[in-house]
Amino acid sequence: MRRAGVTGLGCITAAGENLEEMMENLYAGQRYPSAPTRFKTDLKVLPPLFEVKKQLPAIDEGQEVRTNSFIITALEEALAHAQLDWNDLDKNRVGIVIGTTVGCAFNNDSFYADYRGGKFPDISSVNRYLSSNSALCIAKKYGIRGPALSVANACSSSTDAIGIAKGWIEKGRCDLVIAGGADEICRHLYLGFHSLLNTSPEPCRPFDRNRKGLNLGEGAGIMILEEAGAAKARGAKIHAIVAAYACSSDSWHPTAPHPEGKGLVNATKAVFRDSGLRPEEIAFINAHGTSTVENDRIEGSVISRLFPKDIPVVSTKAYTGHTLGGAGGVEAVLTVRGLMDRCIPATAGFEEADEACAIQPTTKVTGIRGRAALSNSLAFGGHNAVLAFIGGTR
Amino acid sequence: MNKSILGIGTVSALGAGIESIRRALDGHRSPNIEIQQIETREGTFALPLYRSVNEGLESYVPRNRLRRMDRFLRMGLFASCMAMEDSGVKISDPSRVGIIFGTGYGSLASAFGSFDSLIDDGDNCASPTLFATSVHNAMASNVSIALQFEGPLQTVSCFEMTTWGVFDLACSWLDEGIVDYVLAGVGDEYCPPRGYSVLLSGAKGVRAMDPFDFSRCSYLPGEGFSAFLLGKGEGYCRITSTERITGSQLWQNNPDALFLSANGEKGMAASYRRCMKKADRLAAYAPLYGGLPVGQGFDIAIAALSLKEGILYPSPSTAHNGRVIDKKETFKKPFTIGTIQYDREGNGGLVILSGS
Repeated sequence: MRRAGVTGLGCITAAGENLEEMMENLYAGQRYPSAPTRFKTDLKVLPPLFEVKKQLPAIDEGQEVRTNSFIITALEEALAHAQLDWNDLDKNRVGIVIGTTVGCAFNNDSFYADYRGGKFPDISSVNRYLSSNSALCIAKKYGIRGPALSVANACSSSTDAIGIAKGWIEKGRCDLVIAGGADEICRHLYLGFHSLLNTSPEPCRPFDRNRKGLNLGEGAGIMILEEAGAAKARGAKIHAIVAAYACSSDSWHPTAPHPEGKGLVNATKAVFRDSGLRPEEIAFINAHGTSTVENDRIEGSVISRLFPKDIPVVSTKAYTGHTLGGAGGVEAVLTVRGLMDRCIPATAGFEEADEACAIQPTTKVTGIRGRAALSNSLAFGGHNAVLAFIGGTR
Repeated sequence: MNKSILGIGTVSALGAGIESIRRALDGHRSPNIEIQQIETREGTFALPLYRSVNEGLESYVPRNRLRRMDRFLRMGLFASCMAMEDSGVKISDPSRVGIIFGTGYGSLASAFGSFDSLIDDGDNCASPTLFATSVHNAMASNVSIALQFEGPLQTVSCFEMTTWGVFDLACSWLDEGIVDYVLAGVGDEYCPPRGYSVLLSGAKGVRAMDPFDFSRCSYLPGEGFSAFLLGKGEGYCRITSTERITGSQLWQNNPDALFLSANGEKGMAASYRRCMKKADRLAAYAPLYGGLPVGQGFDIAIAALSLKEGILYPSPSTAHNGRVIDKKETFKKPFTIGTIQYDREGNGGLVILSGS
């Protein structure tokens, strides 16, 4: 039976320019929210962002799309972690699935402002957009000739990407898949979320009684998935197996989750069914934990109904912000890293429990028992996706 | 697992429904062309647009439930409703129906409308409705709510590789038993900034599309949505395979007929020219529905119709090539039809259908 093994991890967010730096900051409880620095706005109160401060090179001339630069940065780290000899691979058997939202959308508001203002702008920004689809761009750069897909499923995009990659490996379509996602913060996104009244004017506080909303973030989380038997045969370390992936729709509201978390319940139960895992075998859950009133209430309620009372729950969005299409990839990487390290960080910003959430996330670095962990994603539009990982050893 | 196209719904410049496609193929219907006057630095130019004809959604969904849906969402919902009706399938377990949609550009009108709200009213007054509907997965979410399907949702966006991506993923879901049915659909819409960009990309002076003339740009923008109910059972045809083609590579098994989603863009000419040798019968139907990154969806609809009826319809554009279908032909089954759309990097998405 073919299984998808995680052999490489790479990550870049506001919490750190690589995974090691991120983990140092997460375990120290250190986070770096700030006002936006890359664009101007005349909002009186500026919801904090989790920006990546590092200047990243464009991946190619004319390719100044930050989302793709994030992906490349995380991918290079993941490839090094996997200790792969890229030149030895049969590229027809290599695939790529990237989850993103900004990466698939035209967000150049200055082009549009000039167009509307009758200034007849040139279309270089349009051409740049047309040649910067994340999965296709990176497939071209790395010579990948297997399947290549960009998934734009809002907040669950890269969770779904990893799930799709798992299927490609298990069904024998690919021997190796680059999977994960990324997003960058742009002015339109920042103001759009502000208009939805779900951003917090202060650093986010997942599951806290006084939480006021989410903070946006940016970055990338990328995994190298390989067929486990072949990875073992080449001497690679398998850090975790992707044991299950399931998704389900609330079919409820375009922006708000189902009040009883119907879709998340169904997806979680499907993960149990498909993986054979039992709730008590789950060492921890990396929650979606956006810090909005509704998400945390509903997600907490579902967790309390389906899992033992004291299951450790962490929201790493407290350190990274909500990286939108990249969130699932970032959190999957951090979930596997938790299994490797045998501990998970505190949920920064959490101080006071909210009875309505029915759970309390971690308040300190917490050792874990058990070999399996879940990562939840609840997307805008009511799509719910859950990944289950079973850990190896570091 | 046998995977079939069970029902089809389309919204395009030809009108609504698979019948509108058939009438056009029979020569009884011409596309709805609107001339856009596009201002540029060099003056004002006429750009013919294949404008979709959308009337009829309210026969499926009450008007009050459409209130917050923009035009693009309504197109997709309309096509989806028609696909479900066309299939005749009665869904007993809505959790076993998945939705996979794809779009090249997303809801452009809502995206630029959202920019408008910022420009006109300031940063504090961005439109939350327009922002929410501009997100690429808003279509799948809204259709799931309207049709009460509770299976997984997915949205794919890879420009010209989108249609292949949707069908490829749908086949995976069906093969893996994740769902029993997939409502698969692809669509794109027109908006004035798109017209401006198209004109500056080489469409000045283009009056008609000629996909087989690879020496010049004959691209004209189109819009629309094609939706398909996929599942087990007998329907229009089977989905035999999906494949990503890269570089100068071509595929192993040649279909009996090949429909090229060539739409007059010069950047893809070499790829289409190269693959023309891979089938004995060729066609390019984009002059019926216009140019859009997901035009392959309409070609799949035409291929499915052809396989069901045992008829190859004449290609509205021809080439000096005896293999291009220039009049109605019947064929005997088994028969395979491939559809392929290329992007400007030489990536191609091949979807092969079969009738038996």
